[in-house]
Amino acid sequence: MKNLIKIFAILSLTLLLSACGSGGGGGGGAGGGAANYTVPACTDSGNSTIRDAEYYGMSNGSTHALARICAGAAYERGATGSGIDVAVIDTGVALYGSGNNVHLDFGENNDSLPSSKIVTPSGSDYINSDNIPNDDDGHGTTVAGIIAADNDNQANSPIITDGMHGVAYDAKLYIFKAGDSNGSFTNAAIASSMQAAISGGVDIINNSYGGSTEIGVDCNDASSCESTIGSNVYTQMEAAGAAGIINVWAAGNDSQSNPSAEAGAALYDTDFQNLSIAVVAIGTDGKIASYSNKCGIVAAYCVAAPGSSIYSTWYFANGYHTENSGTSFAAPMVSGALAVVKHEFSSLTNAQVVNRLLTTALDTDEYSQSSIYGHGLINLSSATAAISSLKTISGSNSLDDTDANYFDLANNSFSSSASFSNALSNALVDQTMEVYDSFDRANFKINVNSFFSLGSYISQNTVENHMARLEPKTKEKVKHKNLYGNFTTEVDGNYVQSSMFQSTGDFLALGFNQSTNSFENAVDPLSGFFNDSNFGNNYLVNPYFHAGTGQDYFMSFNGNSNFGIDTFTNANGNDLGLAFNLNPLSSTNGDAKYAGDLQIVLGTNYEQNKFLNSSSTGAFVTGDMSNTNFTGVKYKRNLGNDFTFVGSGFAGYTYIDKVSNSYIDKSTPLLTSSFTLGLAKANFISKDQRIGFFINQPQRVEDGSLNLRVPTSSDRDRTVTYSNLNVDLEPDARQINFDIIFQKAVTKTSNLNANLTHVQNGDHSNSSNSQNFISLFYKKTF
Amino acid sequence: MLNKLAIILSLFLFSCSSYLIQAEEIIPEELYCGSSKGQFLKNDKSYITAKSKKFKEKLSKIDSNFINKDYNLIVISGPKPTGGFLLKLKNINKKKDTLHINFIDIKPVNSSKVSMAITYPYCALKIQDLDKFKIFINFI
Repeated sequence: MKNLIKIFAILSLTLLLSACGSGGGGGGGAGGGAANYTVPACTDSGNSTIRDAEYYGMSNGSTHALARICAGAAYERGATGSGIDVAVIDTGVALYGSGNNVHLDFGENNDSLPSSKIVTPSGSDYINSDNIPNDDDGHGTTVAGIIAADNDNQANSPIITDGMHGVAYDAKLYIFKAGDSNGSFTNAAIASSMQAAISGGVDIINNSYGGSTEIGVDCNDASSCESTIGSNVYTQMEAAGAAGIINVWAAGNDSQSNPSAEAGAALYDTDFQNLSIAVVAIGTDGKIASYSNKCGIVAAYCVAAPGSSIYSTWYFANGYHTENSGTSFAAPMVSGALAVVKHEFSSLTNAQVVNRLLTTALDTDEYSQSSIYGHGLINLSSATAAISSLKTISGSNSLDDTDANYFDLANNSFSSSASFSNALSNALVDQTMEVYDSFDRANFKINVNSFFSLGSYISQNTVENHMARLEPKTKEKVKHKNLYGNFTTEVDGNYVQSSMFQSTGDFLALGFNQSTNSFENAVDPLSGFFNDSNFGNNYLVNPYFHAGTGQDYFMSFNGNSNFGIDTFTNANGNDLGLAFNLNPLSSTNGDAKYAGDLQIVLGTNYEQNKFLNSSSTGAFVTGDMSNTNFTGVKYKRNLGNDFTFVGSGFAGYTYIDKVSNSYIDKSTPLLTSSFTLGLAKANFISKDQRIGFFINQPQRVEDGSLNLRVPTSSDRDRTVTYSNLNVDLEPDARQINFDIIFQKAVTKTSNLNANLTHVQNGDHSNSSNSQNFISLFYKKTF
Repeated sequence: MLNKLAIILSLFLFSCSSYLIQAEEIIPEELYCGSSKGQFLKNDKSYITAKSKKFKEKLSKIDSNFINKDYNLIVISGPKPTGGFLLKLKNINKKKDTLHINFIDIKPVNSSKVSMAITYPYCALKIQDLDKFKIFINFI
């Protein structure tokens, strides 16, 4: 007998436990989440203007609803649903009998429709067969508010104490009434509504209704689901798919393992598979709501959104709001989110918008349970950010063109010469262009100038650089002479820094990192005035031979100083320059004491993938043969009384070699100029002192422009539109350097130098502050 | 013996007549039934009378137009998982100092499509001298 009692007791306990276990989640807690899962959160952002009282209004001040899907981050990027049309097939929206607007969250009181917020198409009340889809239930008004109640800062209005705004508060709503005052819908009204929405060309259709059916149970293929759902409704679901329109479905409130037949039908029908989303609801604790159906076998087309205790618009007058729960209210969260993503990325098709929202859903920890949450909890922060690397496009206006050139952002650059960097900087202010996510070619705006590094003449004028120039040089200069000529080599340790060979009679000169031009070498004693500052040493050299990269080669042929040829190659940049030098006056003729040296220079310079020493890569690349034709005059005259005058001026035309498909499109020839004037006196006050005054204008573009042709927009047809940005490259000011240099020979191996430099309109910019440098140093050679 | 039977029969008939008198069916002066999605009803019991401090507030939240009516009883059935549920008054039986108010819970038909909102079907009634009765609400 005792044994019988024991067996009965065990059986009873087992049955009791079994019964408890099958009960599912109760209240607002988790219906299926394992105990150890934590509820993850996305990272929201947005200032207090974005995340204001209305932002938190949808969840009664808590961090549920909009905060849980990180909508603030999307708003911060400017994505608010503007320009997106969302159809709401429901019980209507709060309207006056006249058909005018009632609710202040959908515009002004008594606004006639259509307005910028609400459209009520002709015949849109399919319950009462009229044109005024007035809400006599409240459900439709609430759903519409979650999608797109406007953000009008009425949270603190005297008449509205519980304001909120929708997920896509700038979207437009198309209202169709297919449900009655009791929340019951008819297939005929649904089918007519969906057909009208499709005809109206909406982007998204929200469906917060369904039958008490279960996908995989009540139907398990397209044919049986059509029968379960109703063929008239199913036909319109297929038509929406064919039109590329997204259908968002509430998963259902029956606590089932799978969504309703309507919400899950995409599982069996490829006609609308990528354009249909089932939405399960999470409670305020972040876990699946007890009432909500789960994603189950539809996990691939299913996502989760907040659906419990959602405050939204109600159907009474004067902006009233109320709290609701159900997958009915999770679905419009997703419809709104899709509108936000679609607004942010005009280049995406609707199917790609769906895919982006699903792919970026939060799917860790609790939300990793795909049988409950499908892809996870929607996350607007991630959905509106780059998923993969961003790239530029060139060579095509189709985002899906396999022949288009895509470059990683880091592989696009334009490093400009200081001769026109000021003009570029001014022209590119607030100029944006598009780049594209490798994941789906979603379009992102980026400032054009983010690719540009602007050259600067004055950037080197730092105290640190001045101090560095004063450091003792480790270079050693070696000179020797043989039968063929003179050799001068400067070495730094084991490395040759510069070298020069001059043949006997100076007919041939070969140089490495050193100008072989006879004039420049002739005034070398004068240039010795300068300390080692950059602008000082460059005052007299040909500015079109862009030396200084460390591998510059010069070769000169001279005809008794009357005629010469200079050649220049730059191994790094593959530059090739050629200059003819005419020397009609030479100090070697006549009275050397008062003779002047005049040199006239004619030349050309070719630059590979750059012009005026401005290099570019990727979509900004230029051709192999950008060419500058230049002329210059150099003059040196001994004025007597130990005064020496030096002057030089250069001008050139640069022709940019255009590469097909480059963002550097058409250009006009760029006229550039530079000049130096100098006056020096030896034996200043005493024999061991010299003084010099120099005025210099660094190379500057005087005329010319280039056309930037960059992608600026793209549409859902995946077509890119390029826009032209014509940039006048003449800077808005002229940089002039003023140098006063004093040198005193203290001993044969040491001297004292004082240098005062004033830079006006640095980098040819009228907004640049003047720079002044004073340096005093003692130099001794050991 | 016959006398005893006569007495018993008399008592039985008397009790029956008394019962029939007590089970008088009354008609509410005002009646409106609907379904509310608002969760302001989620913590309420099956009915609220005008004696409740929150009665006016609840009434206005169900429908702001109700504030002009003289309802003195709200009966709530719920929560229900979807729209389509309805509450229908069957009858009101008065028995001495008690009112037995009987409702029919109507479910949506299986093949129908309904809104996926948690709902609270309700009826708002005006019953004469309501506060004189003990109230018993029955959902059938």
